[in-house]
Amino acid sequence: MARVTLESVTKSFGPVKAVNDINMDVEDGEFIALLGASGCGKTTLLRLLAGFEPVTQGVIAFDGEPVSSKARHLPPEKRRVGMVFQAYALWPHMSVFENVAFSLRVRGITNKQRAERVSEALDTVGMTDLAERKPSDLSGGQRQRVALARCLAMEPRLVLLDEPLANLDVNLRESMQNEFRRFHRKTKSTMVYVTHDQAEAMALADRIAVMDKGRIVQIGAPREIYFNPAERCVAEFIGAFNQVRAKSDVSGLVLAEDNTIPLHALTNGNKNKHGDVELFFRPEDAHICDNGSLTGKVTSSVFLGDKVRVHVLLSDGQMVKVDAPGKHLYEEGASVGIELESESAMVLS
Amino acid sequence: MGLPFPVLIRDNGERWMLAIVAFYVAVFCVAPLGRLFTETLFPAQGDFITLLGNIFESKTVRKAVCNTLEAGVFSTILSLILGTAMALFMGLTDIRNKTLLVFMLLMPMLIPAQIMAVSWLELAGPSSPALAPFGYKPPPGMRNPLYSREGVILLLGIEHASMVFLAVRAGLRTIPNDLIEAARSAGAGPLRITWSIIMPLLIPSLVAGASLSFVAAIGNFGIPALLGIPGRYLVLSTLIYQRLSSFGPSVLGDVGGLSIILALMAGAGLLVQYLAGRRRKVELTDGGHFAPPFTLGKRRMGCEIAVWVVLLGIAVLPLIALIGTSLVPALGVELSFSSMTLNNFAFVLEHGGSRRAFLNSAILGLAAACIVIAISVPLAYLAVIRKSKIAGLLNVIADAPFALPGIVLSIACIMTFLKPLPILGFSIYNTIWIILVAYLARFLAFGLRPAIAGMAQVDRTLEEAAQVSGAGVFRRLWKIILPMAAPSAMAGGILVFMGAFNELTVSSLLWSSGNETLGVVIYNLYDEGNSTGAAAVAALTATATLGIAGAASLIARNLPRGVLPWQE
Repeated sequence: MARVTLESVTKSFGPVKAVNDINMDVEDGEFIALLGASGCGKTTLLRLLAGFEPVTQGVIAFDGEPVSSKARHLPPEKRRVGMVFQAYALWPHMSVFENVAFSLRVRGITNKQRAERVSEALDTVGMTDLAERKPSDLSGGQRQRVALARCLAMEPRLVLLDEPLANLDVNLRESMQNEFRRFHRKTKSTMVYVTHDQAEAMALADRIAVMDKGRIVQIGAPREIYFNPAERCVAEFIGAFNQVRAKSDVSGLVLAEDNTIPLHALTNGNKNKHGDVELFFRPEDAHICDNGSLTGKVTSSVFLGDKVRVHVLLSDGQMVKVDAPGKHLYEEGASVGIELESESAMVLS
Repeated sequence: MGLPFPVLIRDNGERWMLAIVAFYVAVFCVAPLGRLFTETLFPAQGDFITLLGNIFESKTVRKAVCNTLEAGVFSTILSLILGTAMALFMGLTDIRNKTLLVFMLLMPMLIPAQIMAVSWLELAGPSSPALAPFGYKPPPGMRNPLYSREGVILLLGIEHASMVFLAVRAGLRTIPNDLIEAARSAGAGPLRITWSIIMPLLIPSLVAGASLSFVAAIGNFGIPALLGIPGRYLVLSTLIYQRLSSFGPSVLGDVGGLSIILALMAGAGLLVQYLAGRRRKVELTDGGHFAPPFTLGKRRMGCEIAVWVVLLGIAVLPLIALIGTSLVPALGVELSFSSMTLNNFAFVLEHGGSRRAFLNSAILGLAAACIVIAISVPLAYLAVIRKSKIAGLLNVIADAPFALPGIVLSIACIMTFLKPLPILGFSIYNTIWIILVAYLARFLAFGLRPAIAGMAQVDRTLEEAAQVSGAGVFRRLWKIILPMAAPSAMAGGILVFMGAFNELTVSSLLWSSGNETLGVVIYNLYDEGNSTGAAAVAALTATATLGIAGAASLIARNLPRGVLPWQE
């Protein structure tokens, strides 16, 4: 397994910098997720690691040995990097067994040993019984498991996954996520996982790198990212933050007359900003009560099963969302108060 | 400390593959044509302008150039009318049995020019087995009316109508249906819509079809040879042939000059075609589905009869005449059940020359097909999947020996291979090898186009998955890509075989005793006056070709659209 280092890595397509000055260290055996919206550069970064694209600037190294740089580009077939593709990329004219065995044939491994390793790999993903089938006879989930087995068999130093669950239905996704977690625990592989689904990233990764416009905006453990987003774009992407404008002074944050958020509602470190600020808090960190720091009128409420998301128009004209237990009912037009949990709101730029 | 230039550690395998295909293109496509152009444009003695001046002093040459242009232009007009009318009928109306009609229209692509020429000559000839049953018989002793300028233009026009048809049909498919529907709801009738809306949108296709047809017409040899030479109507291709046949390689200089003129005329046509392909102002669809918008109603029967008559006349009648002539014992004898004989076929199969020719053409076809596939598949892979710019350039260069008139290629090959080869020490001139070399140049494009279509259909992630599994270029091509592109490669091979099997233009100048091709034998037999023998060979060749085309159509289900030119 390899340690991956990226040093000032940039990739330009003409004038556009798809990946802009990325610095990142992935530890040996770490599961890191690249999270971001379409076009943020996460797939390009993955392809740089695989070797499908050369870097414009910077150096990518595996275990200290440069594989991509301006001076030297190691082609993909020499990198021993396994890749799981979004559309599986199983070779249609080969059986499951042959698909998994291919990389071993390439390396010249003998028949007997090859058969052993393929069986082992298929066993790990639970596809032993289907070894002679062709990919066209398999379901999406089964194909993805074969793709995983194919990766496993070649014992790569790095495993790259390009939105591998995007084509599967929601129920299947959770079981496949477990599959990936099992795979990681068993093989202790270094894994880089590209996704635009924040829940998936938080469920699977040791660390998440949030990307926006070719840059890494924040990198850290899931809890860190979720509870302490460093920048507004991270907050906008993770969770369903409310965003309100307020004026900050020593007593608290003032939205309008009779509408103040007391200082104890802010997380530490954000209490010292003064003047006009943007305030972020989560719907689940606010609750509706009769007398709260904020007042407003209910405009609509959306029943989501386990909770009700209530849309409230504050007295200064701004709109916020507040989650309440599913059993509660709120009428349109009702006047309500909102209270924030202690240390749940943050000021972000 | 770094090097001043990047040291890309690319896959060495890819470099080798590229080198091999580049070598092929250089030797077969670039060398002969390059030699022709340099030796003629920059001759050892004097200069090109003087050479041109000398050439043009001859009245025969001036006449030939005029005739070439004349035949090119008028036959193109005929092809345009015929091809466009048919494309509009097939594409816009609900005429029945389209597949059959289209097949008849596209027959000239399968039956080579010289066989069509012989067929038509028999059809219009004194012992026309097809017209005689109707009681029409041209008076004996009257010259065949096709031995004339009009005959040449007529046949060239018919021969190339299929090119215009295909271009216009492709163009029709890109017109969005709603443009026509909008015109209908505005109250316009079919004729008006066709004239005001569809035809203007088809102009690029018309120009493309016309330029293709023009280039093919001025480069054609079989038709002007069989019809024009007896009718004393010389064009550049037949003039070159006559000069070379009479005087041998000593006139290579003059003949080179004539070839350049022909090449320049063709080049002008190709330039027009290229420019036409680029101007696309209207948003067009990618040719998905285009349902014929017009119903003919009461006039359908009448239209169908007209179309059937024309197409039967063009495609079927001449072949009937051909078969009829091959079955009569001698020219002039009326065909009947009592006079029918298979002697001509017996003669042909015993006659050493034609037996050899069948063998030669078959072997040449097979060899050319195999070698071309072996080169075009890697080249297509490099160009389409590896996205190599060099391979893309080679792809464009490979078109040249095919697009330019065959006579030009022959002259170029003679110039290049007359002298003994370096290292090997012997000359391939006057052997069968020079014909093979010319075929390897001419038919590369035939194999490349289907191969590229096949490669374009392969999913890139399959290649990428193979890359990360550690496979190098050759292994990826062989184990992963080729299995999926195989049907297209096969189709390319079949097209190459068919082209080489039926070929006349190039081999007419390169053949020597013992190395005749089928096309040459047909021409020679006819030239000697043995029309029945020529008809027999032609009939056999046509049958073989149709059989191969039929077999190819059977595997066509696995092919991307447009690989086999006659597929719907």
